[in-house]
Amino acid sequence: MEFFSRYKNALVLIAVLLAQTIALAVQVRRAPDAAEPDSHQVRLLRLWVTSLVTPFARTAHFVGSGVRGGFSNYVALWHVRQQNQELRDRLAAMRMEQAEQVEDVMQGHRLQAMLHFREQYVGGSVVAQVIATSGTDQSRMLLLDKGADAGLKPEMAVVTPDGVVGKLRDVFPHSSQLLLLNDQSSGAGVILASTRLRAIVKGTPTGRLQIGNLTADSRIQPGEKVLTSGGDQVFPRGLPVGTVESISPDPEHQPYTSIRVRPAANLSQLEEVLVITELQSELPGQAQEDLKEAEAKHLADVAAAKAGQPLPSQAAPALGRGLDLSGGVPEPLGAAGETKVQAPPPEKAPGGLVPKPIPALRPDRYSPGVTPPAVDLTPGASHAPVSPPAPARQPESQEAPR
Amino acid sequence: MSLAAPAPRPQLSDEKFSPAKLTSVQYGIVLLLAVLVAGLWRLQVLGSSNWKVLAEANRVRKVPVLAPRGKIFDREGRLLVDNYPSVTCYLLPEQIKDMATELPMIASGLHLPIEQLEATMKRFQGAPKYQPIPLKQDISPDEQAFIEAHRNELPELETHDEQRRLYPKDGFAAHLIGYVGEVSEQMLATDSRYAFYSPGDVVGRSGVEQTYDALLRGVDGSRDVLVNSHGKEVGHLGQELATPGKDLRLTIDLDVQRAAEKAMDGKTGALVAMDPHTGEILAMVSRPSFDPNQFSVRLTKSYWNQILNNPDHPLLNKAIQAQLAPGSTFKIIMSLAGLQEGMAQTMHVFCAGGASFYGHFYACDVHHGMVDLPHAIPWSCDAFFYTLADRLGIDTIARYATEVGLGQHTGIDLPDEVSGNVPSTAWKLKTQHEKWFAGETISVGIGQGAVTATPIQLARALSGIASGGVLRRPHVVFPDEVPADQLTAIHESFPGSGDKTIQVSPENWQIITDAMANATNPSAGGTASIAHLDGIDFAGKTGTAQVMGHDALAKSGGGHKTVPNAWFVGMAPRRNPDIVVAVLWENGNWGKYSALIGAQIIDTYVNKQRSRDNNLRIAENPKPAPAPTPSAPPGTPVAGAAGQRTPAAE
Repeated sequence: MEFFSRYKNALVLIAVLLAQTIALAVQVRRAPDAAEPDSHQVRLLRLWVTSLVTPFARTAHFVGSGVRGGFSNYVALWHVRQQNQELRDRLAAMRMEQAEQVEDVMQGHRLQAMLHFREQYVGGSVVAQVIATSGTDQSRMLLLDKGADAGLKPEMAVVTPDGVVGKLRDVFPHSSQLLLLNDQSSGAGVILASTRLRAIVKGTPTGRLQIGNLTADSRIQPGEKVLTSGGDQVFPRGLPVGTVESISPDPEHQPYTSIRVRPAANLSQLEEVLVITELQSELPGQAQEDLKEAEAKHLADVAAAKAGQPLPSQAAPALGRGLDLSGGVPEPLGAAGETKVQAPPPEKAPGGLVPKPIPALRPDRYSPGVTPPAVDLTPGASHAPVSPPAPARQPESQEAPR
Repeated sequence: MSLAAPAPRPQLSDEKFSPAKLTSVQYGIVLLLAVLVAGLWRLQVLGSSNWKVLAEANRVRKVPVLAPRGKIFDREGRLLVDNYPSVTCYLLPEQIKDMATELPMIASGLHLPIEQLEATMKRFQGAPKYQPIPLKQDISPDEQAFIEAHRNELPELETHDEQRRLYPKDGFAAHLIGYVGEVSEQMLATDSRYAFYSPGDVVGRSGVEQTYDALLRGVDGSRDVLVNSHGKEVGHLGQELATPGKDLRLTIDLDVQRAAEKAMDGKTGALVAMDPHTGEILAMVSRPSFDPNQFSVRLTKSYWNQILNNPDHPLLNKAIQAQLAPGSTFKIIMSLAGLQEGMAQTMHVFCAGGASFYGHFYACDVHHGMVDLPHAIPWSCDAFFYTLADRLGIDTIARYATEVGLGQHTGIDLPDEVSGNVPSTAWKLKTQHEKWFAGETISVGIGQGAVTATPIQLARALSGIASGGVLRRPHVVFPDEVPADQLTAIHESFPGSGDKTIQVSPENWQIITDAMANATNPSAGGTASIAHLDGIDFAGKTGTAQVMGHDALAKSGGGHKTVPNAWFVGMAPRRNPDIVVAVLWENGNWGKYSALIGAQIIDTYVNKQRSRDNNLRIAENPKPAPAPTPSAPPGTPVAGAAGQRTPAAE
């Protein structure tokens, strides 16, 4: 007993150190929990620390935003009536616009169905508040106030009405970490809206967005919209990512260009975000019915076309890669081919058709009977022109260089 | 008693830590500090430079920047070979945290069957853990996006950018252009040309890609990248830019090549078209062909087996590597020998469907009657050339055959040319330690027996004879495209008879070329009458070469492989021609069928030249001659016709 009382301070110190060492060991070697498949991604110590910090962060954020919100609400109240009228007008205008666009949407779906394209639609989402930012300069992460209890899972896409923000990295019981799109470990599959070029947008160490896997293409212009392509299996297709800001050659990664993208969402000042929790590959009910109708109509069209004229054959998918040099551009010699194939050939020998050369206008060095006798020729020399070339060719110009 | 009672605690501590003990502890601490200071001194002062270098090396990584390979164009600057950026996905086995959950994710993201993924990993099981495993080449943008978007979840996936070659489709000019591949261990160890290459470097493995590898490949650069403790890139210090490879312009004329590819479609053999004035190769085809694009990505096993099991050897460039009996095309060289020796001018032979020599009857296809040289060439009378061969003797024949370039490399700037064979008494003594029998000379006279030649050799020999004795080194790249020192090196590494002039008297030149013009003349009964070109001075010589002796043929019981090879060599115009064509159609049965192929090439070429000169009936409305495309360097002749375009140029 005396021993413990005498060395109390030392023992407490040892106990704390021991506890820390064990905690470190646990952090490094913690077996994955079978019940929660994602649990192995979150280290226990971080979980404890995050759980401890989250209530404080949440409270601080609530108080801060409450004070700010209360003031701005008071100010906003002054204009509410006027704003309400404006919004009603806009809603009406939007309804009109929507009616116009429905037709286009239907056509789009029909075309996609014809191409056996599988679109993914946002099925469900959860609104989350940003309650803290990460401390380091290198990583761009935010802490959200919703976690596994709200149905969040790692890898879920996070968006705002403006555009894509990032995806969830680690998910804790009551909070989660959002990895921003401009973090250097982030990446997303994108498509350039007008040129339909597929590319990958990545974060840079300085926190910018950049496309680095496209070769120089004069069609890409600043201001071009960049949308998600859906190919990365994280972000649903067609969400705005940003706009092309500048294009410059990248001497370090020849032959690629470096394309800087301005994010559509304001990544540095995020407060409220949407986490997409569910994707569905099917359209809502009414749209499905319409689609079926459209398909039936399309099939009828095809049947009608088959009965009458054959449809123009679609370009066969390229079986292999390679430059096509075999036929291609009609040469001025194309006419020679025509004269060859017209009328059945007089003798069809295994070597091919008997060529029928196009007659020459005037004798030239290839004409029979104009080759001079050998005594008049220099061995190996080119022939002199037999007759002057066509007079049609004008002399180049009076002030031709000497 | 009470006074005597001691104050317990201070006394106790005094007892515990006696001054001596305290002093020793103090010295102990001082010693400890001294050791620490010494250690600090050693690290910070004595070894600082060394540690600094090591730390920098840990922090800064040199990343190679690969130079894009030069593109390849035809003589008019039309693109033949391009590059395309391609991405390969690698797996770092040491980064895998949980195989069971991550493997299905990778499989779905990369669109690979999971079994294939497991098989790949199994294959690399013995390899060191840090060695990346190539999972998939040429991945799609979507797959690349998947990898980038899962950097945190799947850190084991890595992508590498590569430049791949984009070759023409369907094996178009594949043998001529060649393909690239990784330099092999064997090449690194044995070939001095690859002394400065390291394993994994991509080099030309055949054709122009191999010969001109040094020009095409450029110089790789490097980048000094700053990495953090996890090896991730956080910035970069400096860089050395890569120097792109030089673009190369070939002497190939795409239009002529196209015609040649089309004419040889579905056949086995080779075709060479050459400009005799310069030795520029205008077209070169070998069949069957292969798809070099398959070689540019990792070759699939099935495609490789398909190539290996093809009895017609698709990888062989038959234009320079098929050494076969030239058949009756050899009679041109026989004629040259006979005329230059002064023997053939007055020679008349009676052909009764053959002739007897040394107690053996040698057959001719037709009963020709009395034949002289001007008729023996167009009719391809064997009896005449048997007699001529017998009179000349094998060594005279061998001398002339060697003079026009047979039995030796032509020196064309393509790898692995073979030399063919010109038999002689010395040759037989050396190789078979036997005396030459006079009877063997008879079949050599018609290009059978031990004489073998390649299409390129025959094209060059005919070029020489039809140009009055001026022989050129055949080449596929314009010499002015290559720096002088490299040109010398290339000429040295492709030794051959090169440029030379042989003695051909004008009379003999005229006799041979006029007789060859009659070969395509129906009214003269030439063997190539079927290939007559109206309005074009087209001359040639057919050859039908048996692939096995009569006895062997009788035993073999027939079959496609016993059908004779069909040869043809032709040119236009007949003297000082602008184009010479040599056609080899293996098992093509009759030389006249190859003549048809040759005629198509000549027709295409002459039509092209005439259309440039506005000299075609269909081109009544004169069109400006097509200017050389901007990518073609200025001041280079276009299609060998520059000299004839304006009167002033001549």
